[in-house]
Amino acid sequence: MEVKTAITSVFFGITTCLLLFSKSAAAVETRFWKDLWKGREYFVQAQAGSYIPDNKNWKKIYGTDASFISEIRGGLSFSRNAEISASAGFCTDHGRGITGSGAESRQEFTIFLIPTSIELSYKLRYSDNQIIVPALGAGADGWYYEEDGGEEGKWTGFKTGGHITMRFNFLLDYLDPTGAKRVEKNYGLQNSYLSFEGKYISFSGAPDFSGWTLYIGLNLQF
Amino acid sequence: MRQNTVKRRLILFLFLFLFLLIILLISGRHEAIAEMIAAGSRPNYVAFSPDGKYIYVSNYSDDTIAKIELSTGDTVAVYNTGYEPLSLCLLESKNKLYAANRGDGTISEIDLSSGASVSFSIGNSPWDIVSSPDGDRLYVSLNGDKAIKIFDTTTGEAVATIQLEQTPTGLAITADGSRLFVANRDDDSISLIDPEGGNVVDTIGVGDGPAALECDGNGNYLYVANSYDGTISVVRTWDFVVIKTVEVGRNPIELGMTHSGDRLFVSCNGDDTLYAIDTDTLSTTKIEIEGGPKGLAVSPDDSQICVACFTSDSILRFYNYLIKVISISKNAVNSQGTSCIRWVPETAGNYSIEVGGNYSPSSGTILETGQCQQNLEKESCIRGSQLGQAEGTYRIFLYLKNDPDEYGLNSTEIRLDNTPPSAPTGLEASPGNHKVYLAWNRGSESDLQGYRIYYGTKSGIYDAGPPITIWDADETSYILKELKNNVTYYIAITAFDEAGNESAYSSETKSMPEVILGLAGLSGAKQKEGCFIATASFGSPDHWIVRKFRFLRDHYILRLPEGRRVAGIYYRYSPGIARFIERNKMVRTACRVALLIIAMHIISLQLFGKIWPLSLTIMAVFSMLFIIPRIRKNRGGS
Repeated sequence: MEVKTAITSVFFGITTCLLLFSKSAAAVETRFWKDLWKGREYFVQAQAGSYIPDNKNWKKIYGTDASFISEIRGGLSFSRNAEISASAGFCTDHGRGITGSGAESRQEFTIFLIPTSIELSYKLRYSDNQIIVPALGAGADGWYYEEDGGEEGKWTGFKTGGHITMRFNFLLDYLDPTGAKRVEKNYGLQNSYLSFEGKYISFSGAPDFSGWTLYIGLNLQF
Repeated sequence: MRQNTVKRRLILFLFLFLFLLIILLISGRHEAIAEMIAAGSRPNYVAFSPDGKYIYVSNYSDDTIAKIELSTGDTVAVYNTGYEPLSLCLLESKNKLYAANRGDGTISEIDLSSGASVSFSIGNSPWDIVSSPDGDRLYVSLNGDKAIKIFDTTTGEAVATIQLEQTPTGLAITADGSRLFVANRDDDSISLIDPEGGNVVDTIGVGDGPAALECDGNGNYLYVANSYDGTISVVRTWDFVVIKTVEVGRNPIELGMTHSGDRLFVSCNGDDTLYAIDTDTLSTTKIEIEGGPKGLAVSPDDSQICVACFTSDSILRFYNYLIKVISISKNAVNSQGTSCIRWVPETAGNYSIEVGGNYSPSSGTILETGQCQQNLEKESCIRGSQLGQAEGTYRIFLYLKNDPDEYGLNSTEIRLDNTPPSAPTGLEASPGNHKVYLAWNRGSESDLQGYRIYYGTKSGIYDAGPPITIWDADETSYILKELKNNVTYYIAITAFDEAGNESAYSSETKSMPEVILGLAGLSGAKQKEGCFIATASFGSPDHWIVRKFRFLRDHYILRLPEGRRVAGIYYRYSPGIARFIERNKMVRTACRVALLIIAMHIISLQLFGKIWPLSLTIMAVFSMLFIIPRIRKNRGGS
């Protein structure tokens, strides 16, 4: 629980820093980057939500259908409609093990997941001031897992899989256009979105971490 | 012939009569030596007469002072006082007794020759009185006026007032009358006052709620009873510094010092105890008494102590010999149980242990008698059946009579309890790997002491091992370990109380230990195993030497915090080393030799509980002799 809190704090800390220091980040942004990414946008997205695994044993062991998960995603928009991104996240939960026959035990287990992914997305974006921007994406996933059962031992590994994503970004600039323009002028922040994302990840083989992740987050486009 | 028979019968009768008379005299004398003496209503403070034959008692609710003859226990005189007399001050030189009457703000002067009593108005809530060495002046602490009044006993007038900043309670004065001390209970401090100048010289902090003060005979040390925190502060008077704090019972309220200065008595009203403090070592002896002890006094020859027992309207008198109760094995027993009292007598003599009675030897049921040596520890065991039939708390008295027929006493309590606690409820068992996790509800009994766990492989027959006793009533879970996997265990628990009464079995539960898995384990994922290097060296995780290393890891290394840190480092770096070992045959062979030697030591640890250094040498030589030819053969082969 402390680890989860710490990770969440770091996560939101980084997001806050990005917001606070984006001016200096923009100042540091040299001509090189401007030239290289002329006409392109890059973005940072911080989001948190629920991981809903398909694996029925998750609920048996960790006592919940959905665990808290957080993620940071960053990427580039090649055009108004296409973008590529990479993400890394964190999820942990604490529960009690079960026997092979399914009987509940009091032996405590803790699982740590570090999901990483790359994704190619297509955005249905037709103007810069479009209020709602739906997007569809697909990508590859690599999840590191570590499950600690105390005296029963520790299981670790890395799973690979793929995912599809549907995302809706709501333009926050619409709420305060004047402020948005000022922020764009001063800090280089072109658009900010409130993002809702649903992602289905599929893995093959054991252990199976396939399932849904549902996020809500903040997307900042520079 | 007939006349002779009559004579013989007369002589026999005479002998019998004399024998009975002696017995009566002796028993009567015993009762007069250590006893509870009836006093007036709510006796509060006591003072010995100069000859030690009488005790004066201020009766708080009667508004009187009673004069009691100690040899008979009879009240020989009663003097009227003001409202709610509190502390007493006897002036031998003037043959007068003074009492501070808190209720009406007066002090009563009683002429002990004529019995005449007169009261003088002194101020609000007079609390304590001390006198100057010549008896011409009385110092009276006025709790309601934050002052000390100086009263001239010759003229019968208050002559001066020492105004204080705090509310005064207890007073003490040095034998030469040069220094007066006052306890400021609400300020947790005491003040040093110059009686001549009438000014506060210094104030120091002591314990919580100082109530009473006592100065030793030569004025070197002052003792402060801190009523709120149950301590005595020892103050060195020449530099006015607290040098030590001694813990006593709850609410120490009055102090009394022997005239020789070797012992300080403390009456603790909060827990009905009297503490004797050795002023040299500051070691304490606890004496359990009854009746709400308040004021106490030591006789002029230091041989006796009288304690006013406020709630029992009596005075407890006993000799200044102590019996130190060191421990009592059980505060509660059932009829089949036994409780043993360890005690040390301060003087050699005959002792008796009695249940019940009224602080007088032979007034209760005698359980044990015998002889004891001075300062030699004794143990007396009392069966529950000796206490009585009815459940309840019984007071056990320890009496000691030495050669000059002086008594020491102490007492303690043992509760007879034959009612077992109710059977524990809510017993749940869940499986673990070679273990079963148990949890149950805490019993509601206040005297619950613990639980016993019974388990077996057949329902109702708990023979898989000896019952496991948990000596903590608040512990409501346990892990049964070293069980066989895939065997069903039937488990029941009982509760037991302080007296040793055991409840009926709880409802039975069962569980079958099995391997416990998490999400990854259930999915068949490979477990992160230890002993990478051993596995790489011997080629299989199931090799017997690898198993020995697993034993070492699980039973020794991972049980220590340092071991777990080392294991963490090992898990980080050993996979790479293991891969190197797997690739290199020579390294693998060398590792096998080294690991074989260590394995031998693990076996030694398993079998004998310690490592045998000799086995290292023998096994090393043996291993080399065995393995080197194989290496050579392998080389030749390749």
